[in-house]
Amino acid sequence: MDWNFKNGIPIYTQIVDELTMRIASGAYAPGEKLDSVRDMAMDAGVNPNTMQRALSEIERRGLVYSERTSGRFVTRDENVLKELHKELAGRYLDEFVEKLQKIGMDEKEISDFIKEAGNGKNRD
Amino acid sequence: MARIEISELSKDFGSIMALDGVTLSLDKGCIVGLLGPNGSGKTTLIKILNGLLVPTSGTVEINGIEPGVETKKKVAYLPDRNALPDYMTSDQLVELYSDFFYDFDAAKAEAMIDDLGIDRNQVMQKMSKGTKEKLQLCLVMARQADVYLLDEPIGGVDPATRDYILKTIISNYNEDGIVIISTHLISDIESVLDNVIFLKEGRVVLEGAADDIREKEGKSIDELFREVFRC
Amino acid sequence: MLGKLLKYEIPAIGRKLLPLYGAWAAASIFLGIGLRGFDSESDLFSVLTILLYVAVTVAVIVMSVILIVQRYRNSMLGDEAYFNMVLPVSMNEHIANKGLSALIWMTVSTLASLVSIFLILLCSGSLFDVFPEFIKGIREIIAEVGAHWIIVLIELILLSILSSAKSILAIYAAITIGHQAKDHKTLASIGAYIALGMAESTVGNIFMRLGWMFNFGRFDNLIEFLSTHEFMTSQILMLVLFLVSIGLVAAYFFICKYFLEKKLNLA
Repeated sequence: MDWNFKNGIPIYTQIVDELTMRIASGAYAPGEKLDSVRDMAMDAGVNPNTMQRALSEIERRGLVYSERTSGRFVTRDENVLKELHKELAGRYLDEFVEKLQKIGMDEKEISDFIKEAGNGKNRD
Repeated sequence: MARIEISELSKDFGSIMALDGVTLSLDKGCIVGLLGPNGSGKTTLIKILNGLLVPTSGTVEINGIEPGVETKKKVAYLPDRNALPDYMTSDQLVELYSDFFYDFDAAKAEAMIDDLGIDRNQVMQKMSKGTKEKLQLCLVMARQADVYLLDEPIGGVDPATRDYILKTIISNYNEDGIVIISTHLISDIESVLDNVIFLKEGRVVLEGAADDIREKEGKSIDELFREVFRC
Repeated sequence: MLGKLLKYEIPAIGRKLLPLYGAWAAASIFLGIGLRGFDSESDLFSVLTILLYVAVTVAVIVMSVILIVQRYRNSMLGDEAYFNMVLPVSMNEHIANKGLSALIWMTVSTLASLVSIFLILLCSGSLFDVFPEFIKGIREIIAEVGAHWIIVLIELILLSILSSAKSILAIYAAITIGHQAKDHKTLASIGAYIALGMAESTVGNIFMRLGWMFNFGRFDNLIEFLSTHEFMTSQILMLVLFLVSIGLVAAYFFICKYFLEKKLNLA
C-alpha cells in the first residue's frame, strides 16, 4: 500500500485520515494485528514519533485497541465501524455536494444526479 | 539518554561569521532537520558538535559535557566528504569500525553493505562516488550511538538508495537518541523529521516541530524553505 | 587504544615503503654487480648501476620524509581527520601513534640501509675484504674510548633514536602551527619549522656555553670528547644530552597537543 503525503497538511493528520480510511474500507480487517510502530513508520517513510502519535489518536477514537504484550489490533466492535462508515460517508457527501453546488446545481438536480449515478447513466 | 545544549554559539573565520549567537536545545527522541542553503553554517555547527572546530565564543554540551573523547564514544558522524582510508575494502573498514567503536554492530553493517550491493572486497578507491557515500553511511548507521550527526547524507545518491537510507534512519532510530540531518534537499526527507531548524547566515531563523509548522503555515517545510530563502 | 591506532598506522606507512625497500635491495644488488666490472670495459653498465642506486636511495629518503609529513597532515588536519579525529581517542594517543609509527619506520629504514650496504658488498665480492677492515675500525674506536664502550654505544643508539623522535615531532609541531594560518599553510609550516629550528639551536648553544663555563670542554665532537675524558665525565655529558633531548621531545609534543586540542580548525 502506498502512502502519499500532501503539502501543507500536518503529516500526523494525514496518517490519521489514511489509517481511518484503511480501517473503514476493510484494508485492515476487524481484529487484525497491526505492525509495530517502527515498521509502520518505515513503510510510510515517516518519523516513528509521528506514527506513534497518529496511532494514539485512532486508539483514542476507538478504532484500534492495544494489548500490552501482544500489540495493537483493529477494533472488532461493529458499532464503532458502523459509526465510522457513517461519519466518512457524511464527510465525502458534504464535499461532493459542496462541489456540485459550486457549479450551480440545486438540491433537486443533485439528488436526481446521484440516483442516476447509481444506475450508471451519467457516463457514456 | 541524549541531550544537546547549545548556547550563544558563535564561530568566525576571520571576516566571515559562520555562526552568530546560536542557542538551541535538543532533547532525546527526535530526528532534527538542520536546514539551510550552502554557507548558512550547517556544517560548521556539526563540526563543532564533533570537536573538529573550536568555537569562537559560546558553549556546546552533549549529555552535559563539552565535545571530547567521552562524547566521541557516543556520537556517530557522517562527514560531508570521504574521510576513510580509501585503500581499504568494505570488510577492512568494518573491522576498523569494530576496533574503535564499542557500539558498532558489525553484522548489521555487513547486512546493509550487502543490501546495497556493495562489493565487500573492492577497495574504496575503485568505488563510484555514490557507492563511497553509501558505504560510509552503512558504517555510521550500524553504530548504536546516542547522537547521529549526518552532514548531507543524501546528496549524491539515487532515489532508491535515498529511500533505503531514510528507512535505515527510521529503523535505527532509538527513543533515547537524537538524529541531526543537515541538508538543503528538504522535500526528500521532510516526512521523517520531528523538528526543523532553519539556519540563515549563521543564525537560527526558524525552529519548531515540523507538523506544527505545516499546520500553522499551511505549507510543506520545503515550500516554506523556498520562501524564507528566496534569492 | 594506542595499540589499535598503531595496528592501522604502521601498515599505512608500510604499504608505501615496502615496495621501495624492494627496489632498494634490487638496486643494491645491481650496484654490487656493476662494481665488479668497474675497472674493466663495461664502464657504462657500472655507471648506470651507480645512478640507479643513487636515484632509489634518494627516493627512499625523500619518500620517508614525505610520508611522515603527509600521514600527519592528512589524518590530523586533512580529509582523513574527519574520521580520525572523531575516534574516541585522546590527543596524547593520537600524537604518540603518529610519532611512534614514523620512528619505527625510520628505524627500519636505517636497518634497510645496512642491508643495502651488505648486499652491495656481497654482490661486488668485496665483503670479505671490507669486513676485517670494519672490525679493525671498531677495535680502534674501542681502544680510543675505552672498555666502557658497550654502555656508550647503547647510549648513543638511544640518543639517536631520541633525536629522531625529536626531529619527527619538530616536523609535526611545524605542520600544526602552520595549519593555524588562514592561507598558505604549507609556507607557514615551513616558516614555523625554521623558527623552531632556530629556537632549538639557541637552547643547544646555551648548554654549550654552560659546558664551557664549567670547564667541561667542547662536546660538539663526541668521539673526541669521549676519548679524552674520564668515563664518569662522559656519563654526565650523556645525562645532559638525554635530558635536553627529552625536554625537546616533550616541548614539541605539547606544542602539537595544545594546538590540536585548543585550536583545531578543520577547514
